[in-house]
Amino acid sequence: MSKIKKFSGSFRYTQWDPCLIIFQIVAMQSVMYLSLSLLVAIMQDLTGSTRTLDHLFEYHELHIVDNEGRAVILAFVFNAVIGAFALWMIVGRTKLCLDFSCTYHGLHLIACWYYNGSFPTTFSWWTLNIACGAIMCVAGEFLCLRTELQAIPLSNIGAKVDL
Amino acid sequence: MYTLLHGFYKYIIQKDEYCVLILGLDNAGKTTYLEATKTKFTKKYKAMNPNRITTTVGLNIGKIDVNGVRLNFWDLGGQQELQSLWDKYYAECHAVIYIVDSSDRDRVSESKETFDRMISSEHLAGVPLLVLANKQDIPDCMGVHTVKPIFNQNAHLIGARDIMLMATSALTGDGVDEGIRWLVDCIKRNSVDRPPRNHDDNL
Repeated sequence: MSKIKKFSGSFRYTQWDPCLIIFQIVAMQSVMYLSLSLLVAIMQDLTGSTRTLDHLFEYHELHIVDNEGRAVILAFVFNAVIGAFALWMIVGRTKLCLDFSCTYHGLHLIACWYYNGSFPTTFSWWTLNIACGAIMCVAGEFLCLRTELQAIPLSNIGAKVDL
Repeated sequence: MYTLLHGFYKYIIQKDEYCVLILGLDNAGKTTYLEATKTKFTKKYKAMNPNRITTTVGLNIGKIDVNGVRLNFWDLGGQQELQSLWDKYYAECHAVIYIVDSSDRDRVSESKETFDRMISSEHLAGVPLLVLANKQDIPDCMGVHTVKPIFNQNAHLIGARDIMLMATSALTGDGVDEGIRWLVDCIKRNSVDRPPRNHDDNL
């Protein structure tokens, strides 16, 4: 959607648009869980462990005592980088990266809470999620900033230029 | 999520914004009236010393919240040379307050001519008008009964719009409150024809 706008040469509508924001949140959540599931599945195959949803949501699966736990942590970190690209593609606004990154991790917290039936208290879960949130936010901001700072082409853009 | 909630909060608390022009000849008391209005409707607002109010060059701006709407006042300079700028504001305003110096009998006809020129503008069609006979604190000023017939002569120019003539004293603040409340009611009634101007919320 942002691509179409980019070519038409006008800035995005900056008024409050609840539909857009809600669908962006839904899209972010879906993309992130999809990529996380794929990454965790790959890691599980590599370490030869069984495929289970526990690896995504269970607090006690995050540990560094064996390869299985380390692989899951690695999958989360990779997923944060993918999340940065998702922010770039779906949100595309430097100012909103922190917001959407926190929203994703907040919803993940609620999902984990529901899955485990208890609020997360393990140090590893919090450290990992805060680190992943930071990576996702900063890398996403970097990517979006690069796009936003691009020069606005003035030639062959047609009459619909909005400066 | 923050953007969503913040936007929702802004959406809930946003008020309709209307623009009101304050016009009149020079030295009629437009700026003093604006100061009096701001003092009446803004808590903790400290009015400017009336002795220090001088000729307006350009315009003064005031903002008040009353009866759930926000009024933006544009107090334009009333000098002869500055009157040519008035019509640039007509299309965007939602109401006009016209101030007459009721202590100055010599210039009341000039004021009347300026008033007629203003209301004959097509951009002001249907806009509520509040005419104020200001400076009622001066003992030998003209009362409402003297001023009213002068400004009521051209009924065809006034047409179907809301018009009210009131006696005020911007210096003492008498009649300011009633005038503004009447104007707000008229603006709300007229908002079908002149919808409020709302600020774009930049993210």
